[in-house]
Formats: sequence, structure tokens, C-alpha cells
Amino acid sequence: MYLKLFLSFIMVLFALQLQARDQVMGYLKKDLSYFKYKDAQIAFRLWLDEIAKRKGVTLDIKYYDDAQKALEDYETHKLDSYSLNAIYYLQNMKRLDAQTLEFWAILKNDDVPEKLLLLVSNESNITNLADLQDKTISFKNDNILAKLFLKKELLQTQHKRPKEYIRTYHLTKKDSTALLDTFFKKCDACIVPESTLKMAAELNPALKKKLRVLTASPTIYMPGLMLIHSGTPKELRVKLRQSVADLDKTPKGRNVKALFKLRNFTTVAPKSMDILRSYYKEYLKLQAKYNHE
Amino acid sequence: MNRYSLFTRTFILIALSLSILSLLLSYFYLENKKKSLIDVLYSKSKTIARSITLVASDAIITSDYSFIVEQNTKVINNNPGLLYLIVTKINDTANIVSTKKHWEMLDKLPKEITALQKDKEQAKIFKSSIIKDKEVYNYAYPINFNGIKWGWVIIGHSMQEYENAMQKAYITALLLLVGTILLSLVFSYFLTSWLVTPIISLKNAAQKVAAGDLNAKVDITSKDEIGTLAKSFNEMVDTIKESNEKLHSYNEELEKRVEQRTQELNVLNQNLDKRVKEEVQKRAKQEQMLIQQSRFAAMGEMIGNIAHQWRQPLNALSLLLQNIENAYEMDMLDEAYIKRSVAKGNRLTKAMSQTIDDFRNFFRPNKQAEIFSVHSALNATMDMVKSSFENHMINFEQHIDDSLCVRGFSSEFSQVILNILTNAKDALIENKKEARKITIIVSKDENNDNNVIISIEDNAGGIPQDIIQNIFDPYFTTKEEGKGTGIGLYMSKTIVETNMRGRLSVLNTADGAKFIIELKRETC
Repeated sequence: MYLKLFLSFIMVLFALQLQARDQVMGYLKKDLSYFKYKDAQIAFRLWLDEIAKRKGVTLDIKYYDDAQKALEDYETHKLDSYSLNAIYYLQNMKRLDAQTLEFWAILKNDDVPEKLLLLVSNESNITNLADLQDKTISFKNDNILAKLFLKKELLQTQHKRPKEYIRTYHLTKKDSTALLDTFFKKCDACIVPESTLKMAAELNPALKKKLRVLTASPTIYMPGLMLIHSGTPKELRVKLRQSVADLDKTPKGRNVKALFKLRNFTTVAPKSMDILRSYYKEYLKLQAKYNHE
Repeated sequence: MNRYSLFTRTFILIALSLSILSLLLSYFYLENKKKSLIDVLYSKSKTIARSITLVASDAIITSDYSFIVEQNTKVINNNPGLLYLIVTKINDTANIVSTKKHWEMLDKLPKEITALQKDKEQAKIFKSSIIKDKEVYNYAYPINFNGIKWGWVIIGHSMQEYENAMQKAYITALLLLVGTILLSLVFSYFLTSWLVTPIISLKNAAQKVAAGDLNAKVDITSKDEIGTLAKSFNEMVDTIKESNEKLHSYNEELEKRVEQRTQELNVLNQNLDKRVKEEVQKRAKQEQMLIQQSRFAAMGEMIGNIAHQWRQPLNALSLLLQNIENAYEMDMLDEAYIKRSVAKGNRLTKAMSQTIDDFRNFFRPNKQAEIFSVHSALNATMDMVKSSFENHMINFEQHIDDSLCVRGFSSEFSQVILNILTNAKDALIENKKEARKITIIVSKDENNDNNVIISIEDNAGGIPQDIIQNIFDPYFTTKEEGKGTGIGLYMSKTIVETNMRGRLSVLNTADGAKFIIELKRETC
């Protein structure tokens, strides 16, 4: 009897020990150049310090180069959250959805996710997707969704892969660069989030006159995605959410926001996620249909 | 405190000097502050321009406008003070102008901006058309790579920071100025007190001394100039006091003397009236004598003239008597001859008697002023002197208006004429050998119809200019001693101007002297 009680006590302690491990956040560096890696490291460090100091929660962060390894750690709940490029989510969405309770995204403007726009110069002779043949398309180097968008559009309308149709991709460090390159006719077309065009047009209204939307995607683009593991305690999720809400209240918090270049973190509505998923599924179907990779 | 007292003036002088000094210091402080703030703007702008040039060098060369736009946007957002950034390339119409809110490509930059595009960096503050209604610090930095000029980076830096800093500086300077002025007022007060109090003590003591208190002393023992002055003042007061006492005693003595002198003067004064009356009487007597002398002189003249007048009848009488004698010797003396000779002798003696009557009338003074004819008076005088003048071959030229009369004493008037004529005769005899002439003109005054002008002009060469002003003075004569008394013309002027209320003047003409008598015209 006492032995049973002792064993039960030991088991409870072990369970509590397991429960009391540090909370860990995962970050897949690959194709998340939206944030400079160095900036992201500083921002996370500051944020975690703030959470520890103000919410009493000790969080750690783990950076990954290998998407597979990160996926495995997330599946085994070694990670409470996992930040990644949306494309890697789409590639493994079944496995990730199984472990994920919430989807968070960086809020750059009012809309998350937002549309991707394929823009051409008004002075060019490109009037439809067919005219993109042998042209140079510019987009941000980590915007894999832009590439996906282009592929899907070309498969759907021209039944061809970009490799066979487009002369070259012109990859830029920023979305605005891709847009300006098109404006200055350095490239024939560009794919940028709708917010980039809005911001650029605010700075120079002539852009809207000189550039024309050839086609637009559904609201699929997110600069980064954070998955919250279903095993993460509710208390932690609440504190995380509060911590994000409190970022504006402290200098460190404001630094975090500046480094992440974000207005806020926000939960992505399930409906939005459904649009993204179905868009990707359509792409996969088209790819299969036209026997492309 | 007197507004113009020494204390006030010294206080104002010191306070004003210190205030002006404070003002100057504040001015230099502000100027220095301005300069240093402008230097800061210059340094900032230069650093930014150089960093843009370094980072965007490839983009500038390859005309990568996207990069330049993004670089500009980044720089302008990272530097709150920047208002605009312009990257312009030589021989390129694309001038990229970025502000905080927008960017644009301009074909042509505003004139004030292009004026900054020189070979060397330029900085100037002005309102540009890019940011209107705002003073902007503009800095243009030429872009040179490998010795080739590519364009310019032009920076428009906000003056807000500068203006805020200057505003603070103005407030600081104002507070400093007010503080310094207040301190200077306090300091001036004490300094003035220190400087002026001894002088005021001296002044008060001097006032007491001036008021008669010679016991006033200055209690200043300092060793400086004021101390010396105070010591000298005290010594001076002592001396004054001593002198005053002496003066008092002198005064008393003087008063006694004055009293004595006053009494003497009173006595003298009483005699003075008597002496004045005596002097007046003496003077009148002298005047009388003078007139008498004048008359005697005239009489002498007249006797000469009578002698001339009588010479001819006397000769005629002599011839008559000689003829009677001859007639008797030749037995031609009969009754008829005697009758004729007696009648002729009677005529001659009658003429001589008439001459005497004429001269007696001349010397008999008129008792009462009367209206007389100038022509008649002149003729009477001329008759008396005519033979004498003819004897000296002096001719008369007369232009006489016989309708003119004047009021006065005709005998005195004749005496005046005689004086003038006699002087003319003497001058002609002395200076003129031939063609001696006296011109007499009597006419109305051209300028005043109520006046009569009598002018007597000779051709004896005139009166020397250096004596012409003195010829009417009494006892003034140019004649040899014994020949002239020097009172003739003096008396003539007195007669014309005092007795006849006219005017007698003289002037030199081309040939001689001209005497002019102006008299009031009367109805004949």
C-alpha cells in the first residue's frame, strides 16, 4: 500500500517534472529572410526576456536550418510554437495541422493574409499572362508563395511551367525593390503583396499610374507563420497573447516590434487558412494534371 | 536723489556699461551658438551624403534607381531631421527626390536647388519649393568616383532642431542677460556708492561752506586722490576762514573810507552843477567867438572885395580930376564941362556908396527867417565878388532857375555861397593856370520836386580823397598859416543844416570839387 502510494507520488513528481520543462519556441530560418536572422535573434531574445520578466514564463528558442528536423520536434511537442515560411507549412500541412491549435501571423497591415499581385508596366506590351513569355519576373527572394502563384497561373492559363515560359526570375531582397525594378523597367513584371503596392503608391502616386495589375491571387500571402502547438498550456498561450498585446508598453517591446517590422501578431482566422490550403491543393492538382513536378 | 546728481550719473554710466557688456556677451554667445548649430547641421549632412554616396555608388553609376529610391527612403526614415534627399546624376533627366512622405522623379530640379550644384560642396539655408513655407538647410555634395563627376547628393535638413536649440539659446541668453543686468545694477549701486560717497561728502561740506558755515569739515582719511582732495579742502576752508576774518576787518576799514569818500563826493557834487554851467557858458562864448572869427574872416574877404569894387571908380575919379586939370590948362574948363564932370563924379561916388550899402546889408544879420529868392541872393553875392574873380580870370557859368525860393536868412545863405566861392577861387588860383571856371546850377531836385539843389563846381582838380571827409570839421584847413581859419566850411554846414534844415555835401567830379546845397523849396 505504502509502496503503491510512494510509486504514485514518484510518478506524479515525474509527470510534474515533465510538465515543468522550459517552454521552447522553434524558428525555421530557411526562406524567412523577411526578417534578418540577426534581427530576429535579437527580437526573440528581447521578447523572451520581457515575457520572463513580466509574465513569469521562461521561454527558450531554438533555431533550425533543417525543416524536417523542426517538423519532427514539433510533432513530438519539443516545441510549443513553430515559426516558418508558409510554404513549408503547406508542404507538410497534414502533419502540422494535426499538432496545431492556433495559427499566428505577422500583421503588417490590416489584412492577413493578403493578395499577391502580378504587376506590369503600363508602357510594356504585356496585356495578359501569355505575354509573359521570355520575360523577366521579379519578386522577393523568400516569397516562395509568389513563385507558387506564378506557377499556378501559368499552369492554369498556359499549361506550362515558368521554367519553360519565363526567361528568368529576378530575386530581390525586398518586395519594394521588385516593384521599383518594374517601375524603372529593370524587369518586365513583378509579384508583390498588395500592401507593398499600397505603401509604394503612397510614397509615389505615379507608381499606380505606371503599373498595372495583370492578375491577383486570392488572399494567401503571409510574410511568416507561427504555429501554436495544441499541447501548449492555455495559460502560456494567454500569456503569450498578452505579451504581444503589451509590446507597445515597454521600450524593449517596441524594439521587438521594430526588429520584426510588424504592426502586431494576430491569429489567422481558420477560414483564411482554408483559402490558403485549398489554393495549394488546386496548385497540386494542376501540377499533377500537367505532369509537372 | 537728484536725477542729475553725480551718484545717478555714475550709477547710470556703470550700469549702462555693464549692461552693454552683458548685451554684447549675449550677442556673441548667440552668434557662436548659431555657428556651432550650423556646423552640426553641416557635419550631419555631410556624413549622410557621404554614406549615401558610398552605399549607392554602384547604383548611381549603373542608374539603378530602385536602389537609390530605397536607399533614400531608408536614410530619410532613419534620420528624423531630414526633410528631403535628392540624388541627381549629370546628363540624366531623372532626378530622384525623396521626402518623408513620398518620392518622385523630376525632369528638372527647382532653380534654387540647381544653384547648389557646383564642383565643391555647397550649403545654404533657404525655402525651397520642395518643402514650402519652411526654412531648410540645404547641402549639396558632389559625387566623384575615380576622378569622374557623376552627380550630386542634395540634402534638405530640417531647421526645427536648430530653431528649437536657438529658441532655448535665446531664452538662456535672455535669462542670463536679465540676471546679469540685475546683478550689474546691484554691483553698480555698491560701486557707485564706494566711488561717489566721498565726493558727496565733499559736496555737502562745500555746500555748508558756501552757505557760510566755515566750520564744516570732511572726514575722509583715505590715502587716495579723494583723501588728498578732502585734506586740501579742509585746508582751503581753514584758509578761507582766516581770509574771511581778514576780509571782515578790511571791510570795516573800507566802509569807513567809503563813508569818508562819500562825504567828500557830496561836497564835490554840489560844486559840479556850478562848474557845468560855467563850462556851458564858456562853450557858448567860444562858439560866439568862433562865429565872430568867421565874420571877421568874411569881413576881411569883403574889404578885399570892396577894394576891388572901388578901384575902378577911384581910377575914374582920378582920371576925371586929371581931365579937369588938363581942361583948365588947356582953357577948356567951362561951366558945362564942370557940370558934366561933377555929374560924372557924383555917379562914381554914388556907385561907391552903393557898394558900401551892399556890403553893409551883407553883414547885417537877418533877425527873422524869411522866404527869399535863391537867384536874387546868388546875384547879390556874385556882384560883390565878381570883380575880384574877374581880376583872377575866373569865369562863371550859370544855369539858374530864377523861380525857386527857400526859407532862411538870406545873409547867412550869402555867407555860405561866399565861403564856397572863396574856397573855389583859392583852389583855382593855386591849381589852375588858365581856363578857370566855376559852374553854378540852381534847379529843382529831380527826385523830389519839393527840394532845391544848388551846386557850385570848380575845375581846380578836386579835394584830395584822404581829407574830403574832414573839410567840414572846425579849424580844418589846407591853407598856409594866416590865410585860412578852418571855420568857413564848418560854419557853412552849420548854417545850411542847422539853421536852414538843409544839407551841404561835397564830392569830387572829373575836373574838380562840387558842393551841393539841398534845401526845401518854398513858394515865392
